[in-house]
Amino acid sequence: MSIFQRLFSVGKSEVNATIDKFEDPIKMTEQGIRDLKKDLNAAMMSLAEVKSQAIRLRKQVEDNKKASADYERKAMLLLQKAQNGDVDITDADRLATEALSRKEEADNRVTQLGQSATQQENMANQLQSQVEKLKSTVATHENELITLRARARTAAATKKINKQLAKVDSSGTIAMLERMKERVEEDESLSEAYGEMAGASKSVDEEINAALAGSSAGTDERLAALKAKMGMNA
Amino acid sequence: MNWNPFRKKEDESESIDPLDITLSNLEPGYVLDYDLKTWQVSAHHYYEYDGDRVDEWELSSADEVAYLECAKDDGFTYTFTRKIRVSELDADIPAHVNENEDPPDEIIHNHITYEADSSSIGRYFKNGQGTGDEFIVWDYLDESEKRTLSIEQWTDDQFEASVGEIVEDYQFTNILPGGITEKY
Repeated sequence: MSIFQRLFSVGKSEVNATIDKFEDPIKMTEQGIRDLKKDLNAAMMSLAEVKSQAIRLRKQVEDNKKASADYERKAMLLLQKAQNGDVDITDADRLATEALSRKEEADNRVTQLGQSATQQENMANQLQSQVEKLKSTVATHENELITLRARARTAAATKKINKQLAKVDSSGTIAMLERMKERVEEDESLSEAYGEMAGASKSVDEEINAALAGSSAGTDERLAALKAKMGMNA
Repeated sequence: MNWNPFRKKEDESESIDPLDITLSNLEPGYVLDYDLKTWQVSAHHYYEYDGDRVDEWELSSADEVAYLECAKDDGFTYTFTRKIRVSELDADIPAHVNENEDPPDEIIHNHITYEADSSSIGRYFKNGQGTGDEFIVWDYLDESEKRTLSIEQWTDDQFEASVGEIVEDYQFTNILPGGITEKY
C-alpha cells in the first residue's frame, strides 16, 4: 500500500469517525422510516393505478357486451321485419349481416379487453402482496421507533446522572469535611485549654495580695504606731 | 426564479401517511375493496343538514356506481347506497307527496318493507363546491334497521330514490391513495 493510499485511508477513517459522532440514532431511524413511507406511498399509488386500469377495462368489457347484445337484437329485429314484409328482404339481410359483423367485432373486443383486465388484475394481486409486505415492514419499524425513543430517553437520563456523579470529587469533599471536623475539634480543645489556663494561672500581684492577706492586722498596728509617733490621736 | 433552500418540496409537505389512510379521508382517485369488488372514488360531495355535515363519495366499479355516505356523530356512521328508479317503488311517490306533502309511511322495494324514520331539509354541495342545492329527504329503515331507503325531492316534480345498507369501516379494505381520477 502506497503512502498516499494509507494517508487516504487514515483521512477516510477520521471523516467517518467524525460523521459517526454526528449520527443521532433516533433521527436516523425517523429518516429511514420517512424514506420507507415514501417508497410505500409510491408503491400504493402504482397499485391504485393498476387497479383503476383494471376497473376501466372491466367497464369497457361490459360496454362491449351490451353493444354485442344490442347488435344481435337489431339483427333479429331486421329479420323479423323482413319476415313481416315491413323491410325488403335483401336490405334486411344486408343490414342484419352488417349488424352481426359489428356484434362479432364487439365480441372480439370483449375477449381482448377481458384478457387485458385479467392481466391487470393478476398484476394488481402481485403488487398487493408486495405492498402488504412493505406496509408490515414500515409498521414494525415504526413500533420499534417508539421503543427506541423510550430507550434513548432512559439512556440520556442515566448518562446525565452518571455524568453528574462523575463530576463530584467525593474524596476531595470527604477530606474537606474531615478537615472541617478536625478544625472544630481543634477549636474545642483550644477553648478547653484556655479554660484550664484561666482557672490555673494567677498574676504576681494576685500572689502578693494573697500572701499579704493574712497580715492585715500588722498593717493596722503599724499605722497606729505611726500616728502615735506623730502625736496624733488614734 | 427564487431559490429557497429551506422551502419544502411539494410532495413532502402534501405527502400522505400510507399507514394512516382511513375511510373518512377518501379523496377522488382512491381505490378500495368492498363486497369482493374493487371500487374507485370518482367524486367527493357533501350534504349539510342544519349545520351537520354528511360526506358522500361516489364509487365506480366496472359499470356500477355506488355511494358511500359518512355521518359524524359520536363516531362515524357509514351507509353504502345505490340509486334506484323512483318508479321501482310500490307507491306513486310524486303523487303521494303532492297530495300529502310526504311520501307513504311504508314503502316496499324488492320484497323488503321499509318504515319511515325521519325527514330533513338539506343542501347538497356537488364536488364540495358552490352554495349548495336545497332538497328534502325522507329516510326509511327496514325491520332490521340495517337496510335504508331514501327519497329525495329536488324540485316540485324531480324525485330521486336510493337503497343501501349501514356498513362498518372494517368491511372496506386495501384503501389506496391516488390512481387515475378520470370519470367513468
